[in-house]
Amino acid sequence: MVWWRRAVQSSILLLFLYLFLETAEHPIDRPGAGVRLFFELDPLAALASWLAAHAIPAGMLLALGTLAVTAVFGRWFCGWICPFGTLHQFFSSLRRGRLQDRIDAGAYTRWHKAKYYALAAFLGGALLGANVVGWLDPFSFLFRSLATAVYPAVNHAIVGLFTWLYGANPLRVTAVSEPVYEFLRRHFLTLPQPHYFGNLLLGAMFAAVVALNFLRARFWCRYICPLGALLGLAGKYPLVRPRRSAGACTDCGLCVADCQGGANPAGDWRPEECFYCFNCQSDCPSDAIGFELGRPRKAAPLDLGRRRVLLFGASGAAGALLFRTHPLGNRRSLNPALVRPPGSLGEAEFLARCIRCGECMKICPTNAIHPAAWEAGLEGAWSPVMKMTMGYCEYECTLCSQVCPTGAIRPLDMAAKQAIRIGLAYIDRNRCLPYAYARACIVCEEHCPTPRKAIWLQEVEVAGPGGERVTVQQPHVDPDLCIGCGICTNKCVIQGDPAVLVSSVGETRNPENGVLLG
Amino acid sequence: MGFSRRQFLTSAASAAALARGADAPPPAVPSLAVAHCKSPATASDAMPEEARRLTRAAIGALGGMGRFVSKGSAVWVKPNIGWDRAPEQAACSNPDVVATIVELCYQAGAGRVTVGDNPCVSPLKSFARSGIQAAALKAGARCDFMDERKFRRMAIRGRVLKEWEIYAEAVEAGRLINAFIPKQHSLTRASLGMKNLMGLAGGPRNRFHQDIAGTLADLAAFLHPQLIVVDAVRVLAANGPTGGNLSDVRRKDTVAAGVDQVAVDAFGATLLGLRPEDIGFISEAHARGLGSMDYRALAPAMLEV
Repeated sequence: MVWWRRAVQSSILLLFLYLFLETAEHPIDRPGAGVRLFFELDPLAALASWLAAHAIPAGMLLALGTLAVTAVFGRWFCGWICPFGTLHQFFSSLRRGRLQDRIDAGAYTRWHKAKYYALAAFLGGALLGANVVGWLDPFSFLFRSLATAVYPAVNHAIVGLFTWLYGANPLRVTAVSEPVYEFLRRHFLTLPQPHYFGNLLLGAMFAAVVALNFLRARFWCRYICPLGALLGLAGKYPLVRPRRSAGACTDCGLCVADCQGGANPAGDWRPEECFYCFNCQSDCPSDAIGFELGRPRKAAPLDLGRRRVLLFGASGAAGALLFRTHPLGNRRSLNPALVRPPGSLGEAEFLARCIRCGECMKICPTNAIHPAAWEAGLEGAWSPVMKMTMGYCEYECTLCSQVCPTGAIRPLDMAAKQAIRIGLAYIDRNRCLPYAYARACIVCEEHCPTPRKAIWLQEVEVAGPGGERVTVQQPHVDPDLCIGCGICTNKCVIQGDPAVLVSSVGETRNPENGVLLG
Repeated sequence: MGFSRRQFLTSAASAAALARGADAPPPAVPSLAVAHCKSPATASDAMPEEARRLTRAAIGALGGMGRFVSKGSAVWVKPNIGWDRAPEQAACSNPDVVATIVELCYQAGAGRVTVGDNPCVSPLKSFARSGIQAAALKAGARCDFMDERKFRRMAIRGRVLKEWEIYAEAVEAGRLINAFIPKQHSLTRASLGMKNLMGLAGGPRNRFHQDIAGTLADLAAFLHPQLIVVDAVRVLAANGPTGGNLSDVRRKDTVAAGVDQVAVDAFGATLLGLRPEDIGFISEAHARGLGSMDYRALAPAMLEV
């Protein structure tokens, strides 16, 4: 049974990684098939979206299946399906140490309840429209960490290695390494190298969560995971239970030492903590543990305490109220730096849906979408924000809208996308070459992708450095035509602090943020 | 204008016979040939055939691809694959013109033909959407995205560019064919062949604009393509070089080929209704002796096919 589980877990982890890699630009404007699958299986994301936005995209109804299976059979999802769980289980299996320590550490403790309280707080907030469940949703956490921190670093390492081999060519290794590199370039790597703001923090958090497995087996799943908590509640009365033959049991404690969830397989079993990993059965030297169909006979109660649950739920709700009364909740202080991907809903509705999964960040072909740090307030931490110095919104692309699992970025066809304004460009005449230095440029106009260019040029005679007359073409933005795609910023010859910038002013999604009459 | 290939060859041969004196120069073949379609395709599915016919005619009138490509040689074909645009939007070179060039190279015995460009947007999309990658691969060429590692800082020794990152494989191929599409461009007035060579440059090439005439002439002198093909099946008359609006596209049903970069660009400019002498990089290249912008003096072969 353990080997079956490992086979299933590895296959699903590989599927997750495959879909991760398929969440990339393709020759046509489509992502790989099924890249939203894991998020659509996620009942926590669906529930939070339903509470906060009163809406669930059709694809996420798959999550009802996850809930239904869990309600009938228990938390198998955590033990067999969840790729983050598989990762934790792998690192947990690397633990070493004295048996007695592992038995002591493996038992159920009151800290197991932490995840239920976290769930209560998240749902309390969601009830008032503040959906931040994506901070700790396991799929969001995993995908976002991989997309913004782990994968770019691996990508960089591989490209660096092969670039060195290509340049130095030790032992004429390029005869072999170049075909390998070509294969990786086609199927694994992303070029040019992606870079994400916030990668240090997100990478450190990921490393920390992985390292916690050495403290307790599957630390995240036991104590933190709010999806695990939801599934634990749903699977409190499963139809599969362990059967312990008291006669054969020698109370050696081996089953506790390797128990992944801390579910007390030898004592009063806790169905809501059991991942059905079957380690207890496999480890038992006297074959005293098996599994059978039937309701748990003598399950330990899950006593969360009504008052505590209410307290944490109310804390979440209070947090939501604070978010709403933050200056960014006031329409007079919309952040001009908060440019959202095209198709993003109005800000309140957007935040009610976005689960910070990072799908849009991973797939953006120009590396323009980044996890927000401060731009959307604490409430919007790690939600997508466009950074035009890093990338730009490609005119002929709708990929982010196609991969968003919650509809925070609504699905767009090309015509609809091209009609959306995500912001408005403005020119800084103090730095723009034809204005400030009497030099020719027009790079912004050249790249402007709208069929009628939104940047127009005015031929002006200006004074050159020696006072001589110089004719230059000075760019102007036509606010009726500009869609805020930011390619002008991205291609501006002044890098880092470009002379043409995009602010969220005039964005289609927030009419309050408009500037033009009509 | 009617000037058939046969007429041309006869007159060229007689001119050559007259000229053959003590130095005995090689028999002259035209340095510019212009093929225009007298009955332009109306159905869109007839466009590829028209483009192919025009390309074969223009290169044929120059004396055929064998003049530029020898047996076993490596050829780099540089179309414009700069943008994520479909062929009918006329922002990228015509895929059938490019494919025909590739086929003619192989027929002339080329060992390896590579089609490549360093686009302004994602290559994955522009290579696919332009139709050039599929057409080039089908014709047997290599058509990979440029590899960042293969740009090398080279000594340009120009007036403006002393050194710059250039795609090494394109230079090392030894045979370069520049296949561009004429487009309106606000700074240069027209994006033509010399402008198309920017696609072999890496580095911060958006700085070129500050002296575009000088940099383009430098690049043209350094890269010096052996054959330049004007794909004017369609041209982009406004909102270039990106385009996107079909009403800015003009059918010219013309493909020209030449060996003089300046003359070819001068001819290309006229297709956009511009005078060559009004275009800075053409004037500069002419003044530097890279070629002649008085393309009519070269007695171009004008073909109606």
